[in-house]
Amino acid sequence: MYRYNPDDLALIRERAAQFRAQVARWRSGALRDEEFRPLRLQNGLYVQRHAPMLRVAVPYGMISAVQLRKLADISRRYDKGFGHFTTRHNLQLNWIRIEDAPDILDELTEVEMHSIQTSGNCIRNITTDPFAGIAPDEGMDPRPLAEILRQWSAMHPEFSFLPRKIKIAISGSAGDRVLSWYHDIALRLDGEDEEGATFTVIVGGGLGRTPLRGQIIEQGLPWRHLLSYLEAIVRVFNLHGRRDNPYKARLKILVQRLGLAEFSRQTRDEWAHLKGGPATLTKAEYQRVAAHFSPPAYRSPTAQSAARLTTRKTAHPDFARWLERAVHPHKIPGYAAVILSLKAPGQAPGDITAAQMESVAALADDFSFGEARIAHEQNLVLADVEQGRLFELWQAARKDALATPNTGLLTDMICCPGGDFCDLANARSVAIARAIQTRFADLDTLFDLGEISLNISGCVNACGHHHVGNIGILGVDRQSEEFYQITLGGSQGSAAHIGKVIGPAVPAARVVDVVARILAVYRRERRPDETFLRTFDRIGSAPFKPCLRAADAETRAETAARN
Amino acid sequence: MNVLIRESAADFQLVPDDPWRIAPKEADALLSLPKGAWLYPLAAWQKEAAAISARGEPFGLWLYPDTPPIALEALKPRLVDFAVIALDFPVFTDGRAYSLARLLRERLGYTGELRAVGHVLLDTLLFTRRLGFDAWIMRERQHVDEAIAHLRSLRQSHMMRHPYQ
Ligand code: HEM
Ligand code: SF4
Repeated sequence: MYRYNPDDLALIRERAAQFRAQVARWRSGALRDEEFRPLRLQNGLYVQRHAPMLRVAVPYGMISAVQLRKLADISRRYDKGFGHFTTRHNLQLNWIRIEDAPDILDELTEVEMHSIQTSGNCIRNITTDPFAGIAPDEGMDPRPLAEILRQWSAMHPEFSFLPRKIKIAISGSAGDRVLSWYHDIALRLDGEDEEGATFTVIVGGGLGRTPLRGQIIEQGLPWRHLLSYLEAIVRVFNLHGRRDNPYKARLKILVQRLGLAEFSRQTRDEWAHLKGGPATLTKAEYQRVAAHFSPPAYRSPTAQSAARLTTRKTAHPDFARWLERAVHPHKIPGYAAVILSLKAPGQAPGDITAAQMESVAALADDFSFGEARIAHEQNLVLADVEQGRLFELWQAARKDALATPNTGLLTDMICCPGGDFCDLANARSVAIARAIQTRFADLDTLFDLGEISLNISGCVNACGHHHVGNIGILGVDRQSEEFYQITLGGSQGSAAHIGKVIGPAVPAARVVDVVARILAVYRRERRPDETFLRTFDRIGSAPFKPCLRAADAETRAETAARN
Repeated sequence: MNVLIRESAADFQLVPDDPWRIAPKEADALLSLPKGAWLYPLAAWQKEAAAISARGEPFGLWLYPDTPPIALEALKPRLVDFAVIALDFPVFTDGRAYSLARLLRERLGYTGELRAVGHVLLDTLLFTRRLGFDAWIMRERQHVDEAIAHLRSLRQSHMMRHPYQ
């Protein structure tokens, strides 16, 4: 993975020092609250329900064992010994003190980490595929370009005070594992010309209160021109995005208002000036960065190890189950990528304890060249594991509750921290996640239900991606009672789209019942080997509507009984 | 009280008596302006360019961040006439002037004084400096020494370098 050179390191150290000075000026009154707020946000520091929260960047999801140990250590000394992985390759520390933030940042620099632009109206942390560099369907490892994007966007002088945030994802694969249709800007490898890789550029997607699918603005864009093209898009946004209303300020709203054709015309006009300028990437620079991502020293598989894997599978059905769910194919024969689930029963999705961070670090050192990744589904990935050692890894991961075989199944939920931490929440999303985990703890049931995604957001900001869950659960406020709106049929991937609301919101106490009823309808209606999503696409929402009516009737009956 | 910091001779100085004032935009008020160093709002310049030039004194331009880039491009042949261009920050989080500054410096080749006015913070000196501003109006006298020290320290700063620009 990318190692900082002295200049990179000096930059984040200076940024940390600058932040320390900003905190001091705020405390002395030289910076007013409303001045300090955007400045602290630009550096990932929120003030939340119970305490300040610091969002640490894990750029494009790559994290080393050394960094994990440092985060564990920081979370113990400055927080309550745990952290929360978000959907955007960040780690949130929920219980820090503002006055400690500068020290935390200094300590992060020791392991080449920072919190630059993890929040605020600027270009946010760049996200990519957790299987980057190893996926069999990959045409190009997106990480060197992701690192270049990180450096380009970090403290970009023109784009540090945008109308609203810009989230960029990049993918080098045929399959879409970066949610490219729902980012402000997404870059997807689409082929090659005589100079190398070319990209499709998607703009104006996003979830939040106005979910909109992105649109293709450019195809066949040569990799050398990625930065100048992005500068053109972001400049048009910076100059013309709305600044009077934060709810109407995202790039997607500008693209919608102007229409793709006009937005694209303005972008191309800007690009005509920028193209070929100093932001043009050179081969030498690309190669300098790419050298950091050269493949590790893989070993050739032995026939013996393959045979051993087969016997272990037969002898240990639990292991076989875990293999089925947790293992992702690798382009090198004899290797596999392994998903370490952060969705064990009772665990808030994405939460990780300091002890677990250290265990992951040890596993990474032992099994995966000292590196791990963060997947946007809030799990961790060990990308380079020898297949012959999967059994050993499983046994080790199990000890720290990192081997729940539920990846891609119902309890592999995406869930925001909701009302337990977040100021903006209407509802306690984590409590709903827990209730679902408890109700559907039985593995046979989970395996029988098969591939399904259930995503929960505590409010309309959609941090938990509820729109694109096969089942989406959104917390809404009804006369200060927690209600949840249910959507069905959303999906990620190349054909990603937004789910449909199936009826009126239900009270918190009814959500799990409604989910159970929805799943019962699916089981009744499904054809052999048909996933939840395919069944829904075939039969539509009508057969699911009675699930809500039943919940409604029960609520009314209960209220009547109480009165 | 407003104070001006300006880059000169590769250093930064407090300029005690800044003569520049913002002119009114209304045409009749313009005609009766006393002699002086005036920064004309774009609308005033667009209407009265000839009269302004005919006054025979140095003049500048004052730009609000909603200035369309296309209006700037139209100014290109006359940019050499402006002694100063002031870009206004109604609040420091309004980043439009950053794009306008880049257009002026990079695309339109403006080489005169580029001045940040309005809500200018110690914290935005870095960005403005990187985009080619060379003068800043600070609102508070007491922050000037700090600002000058900061600007000087930026000369060695890694935050001033940008690998892809
Ligand atoms: C606890 C503190 C958090 C706060 C205050 C917060 C706030 C917000 C807000 C206000 C938005 C809406 C942006 C807009 O529509 O313009 C948003 C979007 C988003 N947040 Fe969070 N968030 C928090 C935590 C998280 C966490 C924990 C995750 C991941 C689990 C997350 C992931 C996202 C994502 C992916 C979006 C994008 C939705 C879109 O495309 O617009 N956030 N967040
Ligand atoms: S979806 Fe709402 S409740 Fe959940 S983290 Fe985002 S802002 Fe907070």
